[in-house]
Amino acid sequence: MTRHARKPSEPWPGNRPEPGRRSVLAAGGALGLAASGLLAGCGGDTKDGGGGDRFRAAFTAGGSQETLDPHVAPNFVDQARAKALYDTLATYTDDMSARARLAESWESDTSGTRWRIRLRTAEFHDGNPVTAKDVLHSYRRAADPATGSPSQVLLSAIDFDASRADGERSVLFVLKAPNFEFPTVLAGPGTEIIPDGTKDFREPIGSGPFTYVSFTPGGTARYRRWADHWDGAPHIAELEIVPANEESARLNALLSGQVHYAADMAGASVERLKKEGSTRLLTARRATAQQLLLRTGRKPFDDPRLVRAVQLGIDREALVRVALAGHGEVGNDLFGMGLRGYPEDLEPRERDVDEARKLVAEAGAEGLAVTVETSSVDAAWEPAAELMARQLREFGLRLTANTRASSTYFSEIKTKGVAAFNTTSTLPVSDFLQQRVRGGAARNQTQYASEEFDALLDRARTTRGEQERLGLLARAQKIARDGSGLLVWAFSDANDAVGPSVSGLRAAPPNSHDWARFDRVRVG
Amino acid sequence: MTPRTKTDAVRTRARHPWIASALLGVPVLVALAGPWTAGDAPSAEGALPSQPPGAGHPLGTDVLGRDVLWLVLHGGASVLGSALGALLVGLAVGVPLGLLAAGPRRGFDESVMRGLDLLLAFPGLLVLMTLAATGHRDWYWLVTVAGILQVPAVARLVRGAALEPGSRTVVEALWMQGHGWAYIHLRHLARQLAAPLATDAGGRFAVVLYLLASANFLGLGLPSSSPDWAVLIERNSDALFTQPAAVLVPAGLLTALCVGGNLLVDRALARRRTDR
Amino acid sequence: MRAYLLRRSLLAVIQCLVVLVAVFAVGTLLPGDTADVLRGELGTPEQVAALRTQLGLDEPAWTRFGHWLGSLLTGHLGNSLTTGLPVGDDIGRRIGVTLLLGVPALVLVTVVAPLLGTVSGLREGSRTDRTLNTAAVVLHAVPEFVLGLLLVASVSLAAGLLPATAIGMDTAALIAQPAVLVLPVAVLTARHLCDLARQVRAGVAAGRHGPVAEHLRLLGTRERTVVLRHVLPGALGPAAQQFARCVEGLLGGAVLVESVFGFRGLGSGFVEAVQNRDLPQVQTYALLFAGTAVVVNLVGDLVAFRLAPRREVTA
Repeated sequence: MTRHARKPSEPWPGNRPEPGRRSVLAAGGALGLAASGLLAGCGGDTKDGGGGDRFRAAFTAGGSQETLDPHVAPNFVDQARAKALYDTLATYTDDMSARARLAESWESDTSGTRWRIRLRTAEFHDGNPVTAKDVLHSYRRAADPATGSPSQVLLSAIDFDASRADGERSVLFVLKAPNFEFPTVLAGPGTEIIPDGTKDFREPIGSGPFTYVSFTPGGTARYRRWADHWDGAPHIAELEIVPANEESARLNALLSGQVHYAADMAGASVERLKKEGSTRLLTARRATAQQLLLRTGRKPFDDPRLVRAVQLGIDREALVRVALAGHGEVGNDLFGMGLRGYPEDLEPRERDVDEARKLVAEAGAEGLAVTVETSSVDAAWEPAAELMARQLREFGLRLTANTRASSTYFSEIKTKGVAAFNTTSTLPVSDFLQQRVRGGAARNQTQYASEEFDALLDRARTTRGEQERLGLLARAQKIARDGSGLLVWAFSDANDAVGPSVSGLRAAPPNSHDWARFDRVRVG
Repeated sequence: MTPRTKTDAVRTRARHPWIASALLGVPVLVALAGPWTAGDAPSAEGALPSQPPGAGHPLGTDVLGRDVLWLVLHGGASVLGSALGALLVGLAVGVPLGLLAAGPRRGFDESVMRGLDLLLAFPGLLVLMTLAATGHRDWYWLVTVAGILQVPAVARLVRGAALEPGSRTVVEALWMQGHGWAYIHLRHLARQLAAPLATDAGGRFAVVLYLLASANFLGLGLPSSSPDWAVLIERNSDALFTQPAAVLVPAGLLTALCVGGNLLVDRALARRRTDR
Repeated sequence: MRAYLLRRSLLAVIQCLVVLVAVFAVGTLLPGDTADVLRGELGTPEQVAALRTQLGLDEPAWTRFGHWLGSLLTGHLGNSLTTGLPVGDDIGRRIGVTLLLGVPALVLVTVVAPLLGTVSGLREGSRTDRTLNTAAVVLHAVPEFVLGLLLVASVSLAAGLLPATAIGMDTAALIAQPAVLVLPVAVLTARHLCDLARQVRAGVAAGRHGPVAEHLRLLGTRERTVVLRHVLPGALGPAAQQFARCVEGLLGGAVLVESVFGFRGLGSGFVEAVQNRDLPQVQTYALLFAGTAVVVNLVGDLVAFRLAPRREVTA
């Protein structure tokens, strides 16, 4: 069900799609109901849907509000489309470290304030070279709050008056404050390089591996292979990105050969695909951090004993087994397990109901009623809320779930409630800490404010040596882990599936370079 | 085409409706007796979700890792109750309005019917989505809205049947004989309306049932963890092919209920006609 | 008759207006606005405020409604808040898909339901009747998505006879490949067809044994005439009104079928518009649905009127 509206995501396409059948069935009901062509959908193509030349990928789409503006990329499908048409200066490896892409190299001065980026030789689809001017235009545009780029906050650290082009293929960025983690910004979504002066995206021109053919908002996007791409031409002649918001529709299309790629398979579909055998699952482990946000700036969670009680009292194993249907692993209250900068030497949280009960009693909160905000945005939340309610009852807290409308869920929980569910896809750990945990940050929803933590983050940013810098980040995270109120109770897998004739795609975390990398794909 | 032959009547009368009775009886029995027969509620730890039938779980587990058998035994009463409730709301409001419209006052007819057209023209989905989004989630909101959504249909049906030519002839005859409005409407029209209304109510029950179930997914009505049969069907729909029991058992019970109920209604109507 | 039509048409306009006002009023109760939805989780307060100003959402709600209504009078439906494009664009793209699903379904229902209902009703209690009637009851009671998914699994995936989904296909592609429409139309039709067929059956069965039919038979009227002149019109009267609602259901209520088979029609468009808090678009959908409902009801009433002219019961 429908799951339909856009699904707002973490810093970019992150979470699972919209409430699918839920809204859809309701709709059907509410309004009072509510073979010769053979496996069609793709003309005279082979059963596999593409005739070896045309590749079709099915995604949950954002509906009629979609644009091809790469700087406004709220959903996974936007990211997939942006990857086809555009390049970014850098790109993320699987552990979210930055790797050069359109940039050939980067270097900073000793203070970490002035960054020189050298561009490789590349062309836009119209034959013009990619120059420093294009980069400056793109970044200026994405840093404008009116554009709505997910990277806007990070880009606003650039002092554009002082930054300048230094020749055709060299840019000098001057930052408002030193930052040795700046290269991760160059790989952020919504930082795609567009030709200088571009304002209109009806006939978009980029420097990516595919050229634009056609697109309707909420509908199919068609692309053609661009033979002159600097990184080598794609293997397929045409790429089609088709919308299918209902998971069962994507699954059926894949199983019947109407598409080659079905994004975002969950629970039961994954089990079915495993049995099916002919298709291949691409499972990215730890792709999504499942969080419970406890607002430490408000009653009752301004009492650290209650935060601690919840940390100790929830049964993470059971949550993974039931709410995630076993498709995930236990979280340790910190974002980014396995990513660069995650402290590796942490003890797992052992469940201790007695201690939790004691803490609740000490806080004088036995029988306290707490409401957790949830929504159908992620299928795991409602079962998790239900299970947590039973677990919290064991140590004296009465949890009830308040289900909010999915499309406005994230904007509502910014200001409302004391506890809420959230998910975040993979992104650089330092960015997450800066934007989500630092005191006073716009996206810090738990209202955590620790001077010690902020000071460590600042020191890390201005520390040149990488090992030393990561060491400081690790220290900061250990402090935030106990006090921030941001509980990561699990990491869930992300699953995409490909048809039998597809090769050249591997399981990769969302937002990383290799995810939905259709220029490397082969059919047949 | 022979009208009401002797064999027709005999055949109808002779056949005992044991199939229809069983179809209706089993779900009702499960719904009413279920809560007393089953054991404890599923534990907080929970088993693996959507497991096919196996040891300890004769019908497997649902998407939340709960025992499907337990859920099925506990989820009948709420679904029957709320669907009947919504249906009653629809009938309680719709039938009088329909009769009023079919009555002698032309002005009433126009205002009632045009008013109902408004309701019909209003997107019910928007109301449900708004109720859900603004926190009016209690079951009685849903039952009321689901019932009200049925009103235009019921009222139109009643009005249509009451204005049916045969009916009018008799009503006019009764009117001439000096019977009062109440007598005509309560005695004669009730008989006249019973057939289409009962048929409609049988079908409408299924409509209401699934409307209630689907509204659940907007966060309206019963909580999504409720063992309610309709909720179970919706929640487990994705697992239709991996754990079919979680969908097909409650769906089978609901289908049996609807089918049995409808067949008995049909039969009763047929008997009434042939016995007349 | 003409006066009646004129009055009803005038009423229809007023009805649509009332619905629009009500839809707008309900719509403003929804939490959040388009700026919240578009900027989502990542939007900083600054970004959301910038967008809100840009979209004119900082104006009072009723002022915006007034603007929209004003432009409607000049024939413009306004621009979508989410896309900035005329709302007609998106609805225009979707309406073809909905018609391709709805019209065949409607034709099927119109032709088959009275036929089956009459056959069944005239032979009430016979084997044919029991089979047809039981089938209708069962089909009506099976959840639609179960029916849809089972049909896809058996007909498309296992037997490979028909396409499984219509994803990525626009109106032109659907017309070129009508096979795609078979399963969705079947699912869409099933419930309405069964409902209507049973309604006709009940009417026919009741009418056949009714006092008027008996009376006509006593007068020596041929059975054929009794059925065609009396029983059928009597049964189709209420059915015509039932049918009116089924049109509306097929038009706007196909959300489930659209999603199971991956269509982009009006049903999912409306849900999307509500979720996006795109009130100009929601209102345009409401106008479309309300207009259709009012017109179809009028037609239903006229048909019912033909079949059973309302007589004044005057003392």
